[in-house]
Amino acid sequence: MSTPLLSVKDMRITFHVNGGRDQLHAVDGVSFDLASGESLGIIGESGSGKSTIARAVLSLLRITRGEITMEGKTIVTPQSPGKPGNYGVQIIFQDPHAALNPRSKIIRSLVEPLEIQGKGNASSRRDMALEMLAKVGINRALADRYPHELSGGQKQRINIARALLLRPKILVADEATAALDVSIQADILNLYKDLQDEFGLSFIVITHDLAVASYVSDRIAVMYLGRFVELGPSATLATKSAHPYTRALMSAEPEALPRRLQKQDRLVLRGEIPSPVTPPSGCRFRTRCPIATDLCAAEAPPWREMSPGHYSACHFAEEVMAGKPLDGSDKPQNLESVK
Amino acid sequence: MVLTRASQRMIGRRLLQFIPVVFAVAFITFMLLNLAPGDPAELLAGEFPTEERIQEIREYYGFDRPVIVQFVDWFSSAMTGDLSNSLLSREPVFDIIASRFPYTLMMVTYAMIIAIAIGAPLGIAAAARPGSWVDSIATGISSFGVAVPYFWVGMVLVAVFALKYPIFPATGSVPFSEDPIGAIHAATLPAIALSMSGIAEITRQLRAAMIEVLSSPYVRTLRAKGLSRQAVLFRHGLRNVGITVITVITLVFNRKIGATVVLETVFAVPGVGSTLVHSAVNKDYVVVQGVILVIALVVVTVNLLADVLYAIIDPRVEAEA
Amino acid sequence: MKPVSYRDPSLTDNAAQPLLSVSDLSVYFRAGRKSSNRVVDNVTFDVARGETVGLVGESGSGKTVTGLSLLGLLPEGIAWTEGQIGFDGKDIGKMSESEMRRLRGRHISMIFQEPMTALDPVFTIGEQLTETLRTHFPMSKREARERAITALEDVGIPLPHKRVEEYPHHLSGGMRQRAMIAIALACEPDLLIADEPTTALDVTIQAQIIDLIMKIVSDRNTALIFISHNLGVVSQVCDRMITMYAGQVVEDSVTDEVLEQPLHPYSSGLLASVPRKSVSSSRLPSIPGRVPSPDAMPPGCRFEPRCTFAQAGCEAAQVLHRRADGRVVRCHRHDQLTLKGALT
Repeated sequence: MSTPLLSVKDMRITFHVNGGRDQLHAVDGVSFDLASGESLGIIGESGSGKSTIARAVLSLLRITRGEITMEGKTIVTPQSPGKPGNYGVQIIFQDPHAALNPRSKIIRSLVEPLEIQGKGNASSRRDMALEMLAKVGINRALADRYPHELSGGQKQRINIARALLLRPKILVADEATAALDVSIQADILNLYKDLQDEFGLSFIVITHDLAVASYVSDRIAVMYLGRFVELGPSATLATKSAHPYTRALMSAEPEALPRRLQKQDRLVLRGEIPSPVTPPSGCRFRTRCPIATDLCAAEAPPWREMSPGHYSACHFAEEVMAGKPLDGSDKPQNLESVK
Repeated sequence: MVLTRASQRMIGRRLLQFIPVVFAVAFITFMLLNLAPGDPAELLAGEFPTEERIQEIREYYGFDRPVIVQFVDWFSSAMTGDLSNSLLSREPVFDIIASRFPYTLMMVTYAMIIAIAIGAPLGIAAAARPGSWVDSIATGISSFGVAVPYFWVGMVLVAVFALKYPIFPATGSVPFSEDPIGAIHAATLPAIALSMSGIAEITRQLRAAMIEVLSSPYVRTLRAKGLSRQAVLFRHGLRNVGITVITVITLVFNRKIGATVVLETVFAVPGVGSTLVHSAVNKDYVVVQGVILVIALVVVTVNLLADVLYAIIDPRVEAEA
Repeated sequence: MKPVSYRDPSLTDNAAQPLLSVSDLSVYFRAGRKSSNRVVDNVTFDVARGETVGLVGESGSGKTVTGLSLLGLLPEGIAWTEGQIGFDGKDIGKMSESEMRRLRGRHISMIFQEPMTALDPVFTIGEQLTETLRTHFPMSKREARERAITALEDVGIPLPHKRVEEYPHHLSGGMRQRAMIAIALACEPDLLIADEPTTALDVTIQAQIIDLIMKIVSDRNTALIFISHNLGVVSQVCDRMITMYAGQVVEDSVTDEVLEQPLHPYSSGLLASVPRKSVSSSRLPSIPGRVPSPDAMPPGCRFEPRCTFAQAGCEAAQVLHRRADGRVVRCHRHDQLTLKGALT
């Protein structure tokens, strides 16, 4: 196998909370590769650490363990944090409004990063910006407008254009469509696919929306309390998931279907995500898992390859993959995880 | 509403900050006074001093020692309550302040009561109906209060209510302990003058805070529950603007303390403010130093009190601490 | 503890008559000195007792404004309404403020999207609950507190006797939304309006809250208006679905019928643009263009500029067609078009 474009190895990111008294491992031993032109979805609930991964890959924060390499070259270690924007990774955020200066015309926001990087002259920068606007489906006439004159979807396209002007190899989308209406979201997701085809761009799509992740990603990583619990091709996760948390997420997300086609045995997880400051022993999901046993409290499940490219961290991965029912109706409601 | 352990810790931390703040104020004023022109020794030496006499006085008072040594000496005795003696009257500075402070306190408290009694209802009424005539009056009053200097108001008040219609005395004061009603009567004009900017500030800040509270999402929830406008305004609104009320009252109090310096002189009130002016003019640095230290103590104490009140009123303070 | 009769004897309880009957409701917002925008335009619909109705549409469709106007909670002096809102045979629009107040929280309740900001931060959960109860029922403080604890228990909040003493910031988002529901349902209202109640929550918590709302409204036969942009959630919760676009109702049908065979091109477009985990790789169909702003509404069909089925006749203003099958649609081509649904 050739060298991956991006490789994250055993990354840990620690924050100090409660006035420095407690340590919080927002990301705790995460490894993954991203191939050129590939799209990786990272899904998880709030507090899972997915956005922290995004910011680490951008060098927007310091990692405490592990390393990040790009095309085989080490670019980020705990000792030497990388320089943001310097190695071909760009990001777009959830709020399309916050990322644009309200007092600057669109064109200004677009050429500014080019100026900072010292690319071309004033007129060539403007041409590059206008060309990129066309590529993301924005009329050139809007270049001289101000952000407040545009819709949320248009602004998000402009944010994408700005990121692309710096010719990144990887675009990280951190909940980039979460604030948009569905019909606008569809446009942006289609745009991701077009950009992947046209520029061979790789994507890391951070989202809480499983359907969005499935739609745009070749592979999906499922995160829970700072760790990956499952990683595999999107189609495999949708049909043959090997982790109860993934199955619960799939089951929890309602699909717009007539009643007769809706799943009758919806699995509703009890309790809430525990505090990452004091994660449960053993398997971190066990406090909410419908099939947890004593083994799960005693030992953290190993990260195992279930089929080529499909990994899971569950003691009962084989059973889950084989379709073990996850009703858990005999389990008492877990009170301690409810804070 | 009791203090949780977290808020007790917060208050403990504030108490610890108390000491360095007082120290810093004392140090900075000491140094600044030392930089100021004029040698107290020359002043003390009388009209035609000899160089020897001045030198003697310097040695007697220790003015010839390094400034730092003088400061440490003064500050350490100040910690025990000894603020040394006035250069002019030879009276202990502590006694001077103790005899003058009640007049100042009386005037400031009186002014605060006026400011809160007028400013708070006005601010709330204005916020309850923004754009109404009440709001216009409130906005007008607060603009006036901010724009007009308090000593000018003081002089106008004296001209009208003391000289033209002699309802209140123009100057002077009566000790509260001896004749409370007379004391209040005498302090009325200076207190009104002093309260002007306070009314303005309290009205303005409370109006803004209450408007913000009334437009917050939880007020919509309260209305959706069937609560009346009055219940929303007085029950929920008041408790939510509590923090702002405390902040603005503290701020206004601190400013009033500062304003007494001029106003006590205008009304010839024998408080610490006029003492400060008098001593500064006569280069009695020891008294100046002592008065500023006491004022700093008062201000810091009031701020500490405000912090304690924050912790009692707002349950979120502990979460942020 | 003597039982409180939640049933209001003044209610007619006439099964033939809808609980809520909105007809030709328009909402105007002031936009400058002399002008105003009509952000909700002649909205008409009924809700029967115990019925669950979804109000769906994208931002700017007027669904939240419609919900707020049912409770008379639009900002005063800035917004005003026209038309009739009949609730249990009485016209809400003609009620005085004090009559409205007796209705709010007692017969019609509302829960909001942001559990973080929708509760008063400086009052305990218990205070906020008992306050609702004591506003509408003569009740001692102790009695109200007992009821508050029961109410918290009913919405699945663990250790309710402890939670009544806590402030909103002590609770997680999911727990706050449960508390919000407990407050809204404390007086057992006849109608609950839920405005995007799960949008700010994680999917697993969303699933819990949906289950809770569905269980409570069906146990108590409470009518529900569920405002949401999430068609998946609405398809689970609601019997009927009203689609709004640019301030107008464009379709009103039984949920399953819309999902299988939408009648309005906008309903169809919305359904198609939702990404599905089971269907992948092909391009997501999207709706071109954007929602017109309220001061620049197309004179005719408001969806016409974005509609792929537009043809001659669409530039005329559209009326709601009441079809023989009971479905309601605002499109003159409703019987010519065969639109894509959730399955096609």
